[in-house]
Amino acid sequence: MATKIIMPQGGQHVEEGRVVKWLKAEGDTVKKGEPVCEVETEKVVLEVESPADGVLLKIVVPAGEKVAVFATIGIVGAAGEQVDLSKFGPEEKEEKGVDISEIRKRLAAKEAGGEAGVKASGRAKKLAAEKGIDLAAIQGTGPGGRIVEEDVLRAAEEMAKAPDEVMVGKVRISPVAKRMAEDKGLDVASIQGTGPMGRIMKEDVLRAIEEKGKKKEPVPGALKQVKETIPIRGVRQVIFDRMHQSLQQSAQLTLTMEVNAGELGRFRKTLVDSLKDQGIRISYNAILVKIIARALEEHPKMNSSVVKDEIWLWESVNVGVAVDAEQGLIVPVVRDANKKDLIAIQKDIDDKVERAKSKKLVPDDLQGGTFTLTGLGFLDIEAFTPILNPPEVGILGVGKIIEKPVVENGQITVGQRMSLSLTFDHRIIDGADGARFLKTLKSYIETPYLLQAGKRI
Amino acid sequence: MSEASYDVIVLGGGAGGVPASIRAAQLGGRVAIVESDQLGGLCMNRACVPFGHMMAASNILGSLALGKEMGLDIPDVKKDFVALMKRQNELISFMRQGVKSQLNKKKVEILQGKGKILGKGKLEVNGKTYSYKNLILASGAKWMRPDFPGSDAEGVITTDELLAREKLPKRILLYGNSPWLISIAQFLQRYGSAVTLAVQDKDLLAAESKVIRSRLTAALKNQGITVWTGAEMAGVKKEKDGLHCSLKVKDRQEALVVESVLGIRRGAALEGLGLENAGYNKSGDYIPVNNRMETGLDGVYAIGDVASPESRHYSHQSSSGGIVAAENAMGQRSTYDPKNLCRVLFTRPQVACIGLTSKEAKEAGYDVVEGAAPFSMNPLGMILTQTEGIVEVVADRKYGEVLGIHFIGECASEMAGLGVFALQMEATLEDLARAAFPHPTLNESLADAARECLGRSIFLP
Repeated sequence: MATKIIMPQGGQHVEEGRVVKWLKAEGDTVKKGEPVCEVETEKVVLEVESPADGVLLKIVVPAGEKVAVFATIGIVGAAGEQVDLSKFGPEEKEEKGVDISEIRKRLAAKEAGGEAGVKASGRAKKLAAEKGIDLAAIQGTGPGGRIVEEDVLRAAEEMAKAPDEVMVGKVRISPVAKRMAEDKGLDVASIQGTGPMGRIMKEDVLRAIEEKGKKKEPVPGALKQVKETIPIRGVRQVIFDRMHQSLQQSAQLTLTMEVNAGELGRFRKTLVDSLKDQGIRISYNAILVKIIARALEEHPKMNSSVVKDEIWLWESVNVGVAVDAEQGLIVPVVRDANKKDLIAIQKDIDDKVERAKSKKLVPDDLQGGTFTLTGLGFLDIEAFTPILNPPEVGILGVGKIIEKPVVENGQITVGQRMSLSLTFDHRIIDGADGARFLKTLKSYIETPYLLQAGKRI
Repeated sequence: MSEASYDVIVLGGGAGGVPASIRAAQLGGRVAIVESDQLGGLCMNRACVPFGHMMAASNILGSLALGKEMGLDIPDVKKDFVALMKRQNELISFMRQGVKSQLNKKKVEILQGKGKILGKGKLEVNGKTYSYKNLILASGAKWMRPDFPGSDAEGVITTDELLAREKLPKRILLYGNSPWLISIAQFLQRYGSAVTLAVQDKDLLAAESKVIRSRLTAALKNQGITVWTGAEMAGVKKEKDGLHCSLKVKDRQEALVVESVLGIRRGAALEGLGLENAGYNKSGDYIPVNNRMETGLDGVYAIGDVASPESRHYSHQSSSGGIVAAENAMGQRSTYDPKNLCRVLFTRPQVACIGLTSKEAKEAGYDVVEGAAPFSMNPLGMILTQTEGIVEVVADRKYGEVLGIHFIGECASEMAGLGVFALQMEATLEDLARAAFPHPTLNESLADAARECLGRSIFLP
């Protein structure tokens, strides 16, 4: 029995994926659960496992090509088995969370052949025709659901208020304009049409190109030789979009504070030494995750997101840890970090980093963070300005611990100093609030034993 | 005396003014239309309709040769010009009546008389003053005598005089650049006149593609019309035996004696409108307008021939511009795109061209691809012995945008509608190439010409 290998979805809202490489060739024997190929979605790189024991009968999607999620990318079956490819069409993707307005529902019903059922008064028909409104889109309030003049007026008003809603998925555009927009990579939905019924014409696209061109920097190739062009896609594409989105959508402010990390170092050393025989090595990251989780409990606004015009405070405290992995930056999330002890946190991080290396991370490992910890100390960076990971409102950057002279009570001593750089969304968090959060972090870093004391409120 | 006031007054009841007034009334305006002569204008009374009628008759004559090939030998064809004119006048008066009842039905008031602007928002017709919020100038064009020595001699006629005749001249010289002369030449030749057609331009339809020009010229010459291009009239003199004409044709001198000389040109009808009273002080042969048909004066629009150079005097431009002007006058935002104007000639073979020639497209900076499909390779074309016909498609290589479509041959004016539509919709070669046109029709050649641009013509050798 032939079984299909499908392109995994690899994260919510992911619509397509690319086959990076096939680990098996057609005709190779495969075992159920054995990796057969690597795929890349916009969120993660994944290994796809064979769904059955047998032979890789057919590679449907060769390496390098993109297909929709849930599409068949290969077929596993018994050696010599004949496969009818036509039976392996793409599976229907489940539509989730699409809000279909009443109007669109009725229009769809009309397309399905229900037009005969529309009843309207003569005056309503005439008015609808004048206003260019499809009767099928109007809810009748007259006797027996008959559409009367008033209904048409109401519908006209609604449509004027929400033309986009009614027009979703139906952009009017001329064939030439469409080709031109595709060629130039313009989003047709963003172009203002000036043709009949707002149709987008060539001239409109040319104007959009011109406007785009005005914002553009000079041609990159001018006066410079191009050595190589690297397409921005996959994980890089996500980082690219997220970072840009981050700066566009929030007002970011960074505060820095230098703290004494001497006690933190001793605390960690004690833990490392005591847990050696357990095979666990507590990292600074793990301790900082714990400290951040505790501080977030004490400053709930820092553990929030902006949703439309509200601030949503999260119950969960999920701390992402930025890790420099082979394929670029990844941010595995330690869920419920406030409820986990240090060993659990360390194990969680180790497990995810390991799986990132072997390309076995699943999208859930990377999603749902409420705050991020990032550090470049291992590359000798002392302080920097982190960029928010939206929709989070806070991110803490931690620098290298440096031994340097410190004046304390009029005496110069040798201090173990570490800088904290806190970036937060200034739209909802004031500078003083940010500073107070840093102060809390400082207290835990300088007195890590406080972690044992419980939440201070 | 309280004066009548209107949302829109349309000055001129011709091909542009009538649709403009109806459109404005549809949009709820109180509208009046002013006409000093006959409703329907030049188009209906003295140009498109009468000449269209005459060309239809002459085309039937032109079909006799094909009929003979098909075994329909009609030996004795009697050509009764008077009977033709009688039918024509009845037809025109019927159509005129139709226009009048349309205007009445759409509640457009008809003001008979010559309209003159008195000042901003004031118009006088037959001594009565009317006020308007918006004025649409649609006074059209008039036939004008060409300017050459002896043009006032007896026997030098205009088309109006030609239409009033009971007998056609035995020998006639047609002189000028107007495409109308080509149609009239062909009609007269078919009805028995000896015709010389002398055009000033270096070629017939000088702005069109070489293929169109050469095919048209060859067809007219085959039909027995003498065609002189690059001609300049040195003078006309009335003698006993007729009008002695001397012309310089390219580098040589030509002389001929004819019964009549028909020399026409058209010019915008601007005189007596009182434009200066509305604050319009520009000089020029016509009133320039933008794509909303605005003249630059507040609430004053101009459409059709009064707002166009002679090369763009087409009723279909007047009517589409009229609708746009009316909509704008009534507060909408409409535009007219002049690039899709069809240049049409009702000769046999017919000529209809839309958009750019390949030369114009190259000059405009396009990377041009061209394709053509002769009707001689088309099944219906073969049935009809369409050796003269061809369709050419000019397109942009990059996006496949169809930039120009040129037809010559049977049904060209009808197929041109497809061309207008394709350009207006901004169709690509792919759209035309994939259109399943009915079989057997000449339209199939249009799809094949588009396919040829794409390098995949089906029927061309």
